[in-house]
Amino acid sequence: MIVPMKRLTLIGLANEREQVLCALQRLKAVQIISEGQLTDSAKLRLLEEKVDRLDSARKSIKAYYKKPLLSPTPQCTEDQLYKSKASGDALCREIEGLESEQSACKAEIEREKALIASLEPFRELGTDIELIKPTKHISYILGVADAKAMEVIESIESCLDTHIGLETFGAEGARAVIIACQSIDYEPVMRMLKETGFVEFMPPKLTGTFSQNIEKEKAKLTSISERLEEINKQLAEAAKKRAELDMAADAYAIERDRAQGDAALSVSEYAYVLDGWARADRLDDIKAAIESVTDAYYMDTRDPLDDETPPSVTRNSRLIEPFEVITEMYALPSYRGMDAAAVMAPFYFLFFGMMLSDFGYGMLLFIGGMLYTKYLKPMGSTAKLVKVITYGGLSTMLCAPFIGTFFGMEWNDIFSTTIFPLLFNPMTDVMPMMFLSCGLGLVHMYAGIIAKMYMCFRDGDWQSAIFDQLSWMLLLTGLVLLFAAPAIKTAALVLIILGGGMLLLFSGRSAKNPIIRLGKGFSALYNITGYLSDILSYVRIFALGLVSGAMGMVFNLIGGLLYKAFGGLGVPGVIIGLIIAGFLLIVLHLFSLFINTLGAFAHTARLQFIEFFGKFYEADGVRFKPLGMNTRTVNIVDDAAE
Amino acid sequence: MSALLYQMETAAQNSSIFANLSENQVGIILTALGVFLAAILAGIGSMIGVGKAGQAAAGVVAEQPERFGNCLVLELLPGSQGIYGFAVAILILIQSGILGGATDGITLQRGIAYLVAGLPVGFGGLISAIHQGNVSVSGIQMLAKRADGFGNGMMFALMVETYALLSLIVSVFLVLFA
Repeated sequence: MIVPMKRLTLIGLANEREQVLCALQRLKAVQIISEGQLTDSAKLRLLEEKVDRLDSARKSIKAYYKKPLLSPTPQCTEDQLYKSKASGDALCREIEGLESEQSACKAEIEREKALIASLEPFRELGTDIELIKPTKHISYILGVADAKAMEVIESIESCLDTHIGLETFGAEGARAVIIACQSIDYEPVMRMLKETGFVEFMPPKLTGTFSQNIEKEKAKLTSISERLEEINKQLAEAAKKRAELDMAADAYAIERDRAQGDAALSVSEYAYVLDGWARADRLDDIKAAIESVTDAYYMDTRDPLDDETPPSVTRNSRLIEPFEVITEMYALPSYRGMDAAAVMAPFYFLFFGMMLSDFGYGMLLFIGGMLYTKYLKPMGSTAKLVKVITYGGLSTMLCAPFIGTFFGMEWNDIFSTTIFPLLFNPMTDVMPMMFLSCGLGLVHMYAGIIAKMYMCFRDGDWQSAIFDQLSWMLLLTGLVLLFAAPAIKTAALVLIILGGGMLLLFSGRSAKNPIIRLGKGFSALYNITGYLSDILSYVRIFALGLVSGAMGMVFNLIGGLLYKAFGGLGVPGVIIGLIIAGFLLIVLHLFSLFINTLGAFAHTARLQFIEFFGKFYEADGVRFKPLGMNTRTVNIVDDAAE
Repeated sequence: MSALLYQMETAAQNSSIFANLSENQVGIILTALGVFLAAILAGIGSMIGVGKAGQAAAGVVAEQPERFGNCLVLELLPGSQGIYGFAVAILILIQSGILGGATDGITLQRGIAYLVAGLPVGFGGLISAIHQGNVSVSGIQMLAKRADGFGNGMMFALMVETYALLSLIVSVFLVLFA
C-alpha cells in the first residue's frame, strides 16, 4: 500500500538542530524540503569535499586489489562507522600522497628515458659535453642524420666552398654526426640540412662525456623505477585497508546528507523552521525522536493539499515487500494511485514458476537464493531482487509436478509412475496448456480491472467503475462462455449484450450529442481488439515453459548419446563417459538455467507491466528521499556480532 | 497446400534429382530442410542481434565496469530466438522420428509439413532478433547515461520478442498438428 504523507512543520531552537537532525536521520522518515535556495554553508562544502576526496582515493586503489566476485556486505554499528573517520582520513591522505608521488615518478621516468635516448647516439664521442659550445669563429652542429642527410653533409664543402670538420658514429642510416664549421657558415649549412628533415640536437647542460652521463642517468632511472615499485607496493598495502576507506566515505556521506538537510532549514538567530514530508505512519516515532533530544519544539502536521504532489513510498508485508522491486523497475506508483506490489505478487509468483517449469532448476534457484541472502547479505534493491528470484524458484518447484519436468527428464521415467505430470504434459497436450495460460491471463486481467474499479469507487466515480470497467468483465466473460460452454449459450449472450450494451451506450456519457455519444461507444467497443491481443500475449507462459522443457530434454539427450558412445569401450570407457557426460550436463544445464531464468523473469515482468499495469496502474510517483543513514558499502546494524 | 503438394509431387516424378528417390526419402530430406531452416535462420538472427549488443555492451563496460551485469542481460535478450529455433528443430526431429531412427512414417506430405513448420520460427526469429539486437544496443547506450535505465531498456527489447514467441507457437502447432 502507499503510505500516507503529512506535511510537517517543525520549529525548534537553533542550537539544538544538529541533534534533532541526527535523531531524524536515524528514523529515515522525513524528507526535508527547502523553500528556495539552500543556505551556503562552509561545513557542507567541507563535507562534500571530504566525500569527493575519499571517493577518488577509493577509485585510485581499485587497480591494486581484485574484488571477489561474490563477497558479503560488511556490517558495522553507527559508532564504528563514525569512528572510522579518523583512520579513513589518514589512509586517504596517505593514498593521495602516494598517488602524487607516483605520478611525479612516472613523469620523471619519461623524462630520463627521453634524455638517455637523445644522448645514446653520441655515446662514442669522447669529448666532455660542456666543451661543445660555439666559440667566436667556430660553431658545432650535432644531430642524427639519415642516409639522405649524410649525402647533403658530404656535399657541403663543395657546395658552399668552405671547410668543415665532421665526425660520425653509429650505424649507417641513423648516424650521429658532429659538424664543426665557421660561424658564418652556420646559417647556410643548417638551411641545407633542414631540407632533409635533419633536426639539430642541442646538447643539454651537463658535465662529463656522453657515455658517463648516459650511465649516470641510467642509474637515476633505476633508482626512480625502484621508488615507483615501492610506491605501488605501498598502494597495494593501503588497498588492503580499503574497508576503512569505504566506511569513512559512508560516514562522511551521512554527515554530508545531514548538513544538506541543515542547509535546507530556515534558521534565524535563535530558532529554525523545518519544512518537509513525513510518513504519516511514523509520526509517533518522529515525535519520540525529537523528544529524546529536547522538549522545546513546536510540531505541526497537515494533510497534503490537492495541488501538492507528495512523494510516494510503499509499505508491504515482509512476504510482498521484495516484489516492490518489480513495480519500481516500471515506475513508482502515483501518490493518489494504488500500489501494485500486493496484487501483482501472486501472479508474478505463479507465472514465473509456470514459465521455468522445471523442478531441478527451481530447486537450484531456491537454494541459491537462500544461500545468497544468508551469506552475502545484499542491500536494498539487490536484496529484494534476490528474494523475488528465490520465490520464483519455490514457485517453479510447486508448478513443476503439475506441468513440468525434473532437470529436463519426465517425472514418470524417474519414479516409474504414470501419474505425472499431475495436470498435463505441455509437450503433447498443447491445446489445454494454451487454454490454461490464456485463462490465467484472463484472471490476471480481471484482477487489474477490479483494481481499477476499486480506485474508481474510492474516488467516488461509480459511473466509470460500472460502465468502463465492469462492462468489460461482463463482455469478456460472455465471450469466453460462448466458446467454452455452448450449453449455457443464453447466459453467455445475456452477458455479452449487457456488457457490450453498457459500453456502447455509456462510454460516451460525457457527450451531449447522442450521435457523438454513440460514436464514442463504438470506438470504446473497438478496444476489444486490445483485450484480445492482451489475452493472446499470455501464450508466452506456455511457450517459455515449452522451451525450458525442450532445452533440458535435448541436453539430457546429448549427454546420453555421449555416455553411450563411450559405453562400448568397456569399464574405462564407462568411467570416462560418466565424467565427460556428467561435466557436460552440468555446464549445459547451468546454461539452460541461466537463459530460462532470464526469460521467465523478464517475460513475467512484461506481463505485469503491459497487460496488467495497463489496466489500472498510475505511474507518476515521485521518489521519497528521506534524510537517512544511506550507506553504499556497509550495512548499519544495532550491534555488530562479529 | 494441395497445389504445392501437387507441384512437389510432379517435381519429384520429373526432376532428375528426385527421380530415383522414394517418397519416404524425399520426405526425410524435406524434414531435414525444415530442421535446418528453423535452427539456422533463427540462429543467424540471434548471432547478429547478440553480436551487435555485445559490442555496445563492451563499450559501456569499458567505462563503467559496474554495469556488467545489466549489460549482459540486455545483450542476451536477442539470444532467445536462436533457442526458439533450436527447440522447434528438436521438436521436428522428435516428432518425425528422425531422433530415434523411425523414419518410415515420413511421407512426402509429412516432409512438406515439417519443412513449412520450420519456416515461421526461422524467419520470425531471424528478423525479430536483428531488430531486438538494435533495441538492445540502444538500451545499453541508455544504461551508460542513466544508471536506472535498465528496466526500461529491457522492456523495450522485450516488446520485439513477443513476435518471435508468436512465430514459435505457430511453428510448434504446425509440427504437432499439420
